[in-house]
Amino acid sequence: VNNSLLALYSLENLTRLYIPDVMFNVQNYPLTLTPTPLFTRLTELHFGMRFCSMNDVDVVLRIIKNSEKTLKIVYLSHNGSDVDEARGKELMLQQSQDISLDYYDFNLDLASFAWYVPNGSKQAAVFAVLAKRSNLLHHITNFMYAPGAIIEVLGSMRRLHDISIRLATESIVEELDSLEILIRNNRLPKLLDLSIYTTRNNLRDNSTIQHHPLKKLCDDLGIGFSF
Amino acid sequence: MSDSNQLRLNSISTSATPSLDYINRLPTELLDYVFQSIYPSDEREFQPYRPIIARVAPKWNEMMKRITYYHVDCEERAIILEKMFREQPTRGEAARSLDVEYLEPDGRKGILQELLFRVPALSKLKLDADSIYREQDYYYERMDETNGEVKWTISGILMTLRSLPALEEFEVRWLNNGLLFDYDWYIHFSSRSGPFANVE
Repeated sequence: VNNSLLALYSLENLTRLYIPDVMFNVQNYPLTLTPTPLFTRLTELHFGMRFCSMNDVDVVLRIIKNSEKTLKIVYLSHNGSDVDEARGKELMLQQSQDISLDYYDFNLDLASFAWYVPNGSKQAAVFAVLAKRSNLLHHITNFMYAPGAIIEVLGSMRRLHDISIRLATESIVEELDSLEILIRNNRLPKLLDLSIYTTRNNLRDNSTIQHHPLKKLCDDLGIGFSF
Repeated sequence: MSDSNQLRLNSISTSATPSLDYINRLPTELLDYVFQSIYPSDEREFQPYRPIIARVAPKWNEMMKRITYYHVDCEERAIILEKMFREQPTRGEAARSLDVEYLEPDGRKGILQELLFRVPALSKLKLDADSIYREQDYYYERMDETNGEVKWTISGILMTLRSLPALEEFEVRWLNNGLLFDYDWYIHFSSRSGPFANVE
């Protein structure tokens, strides 16, 4: 183990951190004794991450928290392959919703916060943990290829203006219903564009979306709607 | 041909061949802009012309000695730069920005690490580990072959970050392989300085 994380943390003048594919391997790591990066003036953070445990999520939360006054641009994406392969690790994420851990209450003033979920990622557990441990999701402005399970916490994303969401064919009606309720109740007040993808593209899916009241609601409110 | 065009041609043909010194009389900012547009992105093609340019644009040649931005796209360039900084430490100390589009495949020589140790005031570092494969047909196969080796090279480079306290911008592109940042709490718990200052 190189402890290279500490080498990164030692860069106290850092303002821009751009790593499109990063992993944190944090071992023997009590979350209550979190090391803190020395840099506190990040203005731009671009991470493509692979989350394997709550420790990894915590590293990212801590980095953002440390620079919350200066951050302007955040771009996060994550590749869920590691978790998909090892269900045990996903469970570890679930279990780490420990309420005794620090809650990260972010007071961010971001120009943009994009979150991209590459095709195939099923890491809905990460979002459940984030929603439990922080208000980070509240600050997302662009969400690309979000998993359908995100609908559970979508209502807290008050700054979201652009989302593409991947719905499961088996439960597409229920998920469209949920989206409609969220939008009708003004839970996504800044939404400008909504794109729907389905796990299996077929005519029946398209017909279901085409005739769902969500489409008319978006038309009425001037929200771009595509599928 | 119109009179005005004939007049222009006469004017051009009768004027004396301009002295090469006119390049030196250009404003420094303009001269810098002109040469930055071709250097260092085409560095390898550019190098053979350096002696010629040094003669026709000595002012630019002097400016080059004060350059703070460097670009490494091959092992040869890394070795040359490292040697230059070793022999002229003040130039290494003046370096502010370094783009690296090359990684040693075996990681044994540690040239890049040596290079980083010689630029302590660097404020911007970009490592593009994918660039050497990007234009090759066998991109993915080659990446698989060298994955482990490159990983060790990058791992060594990450540890040299401690020698770059002025770093403000850090960018690493190594897609599909995951740049690994390790941390073991038990090994470092006894340390009470730096990032552990807040540990109870």
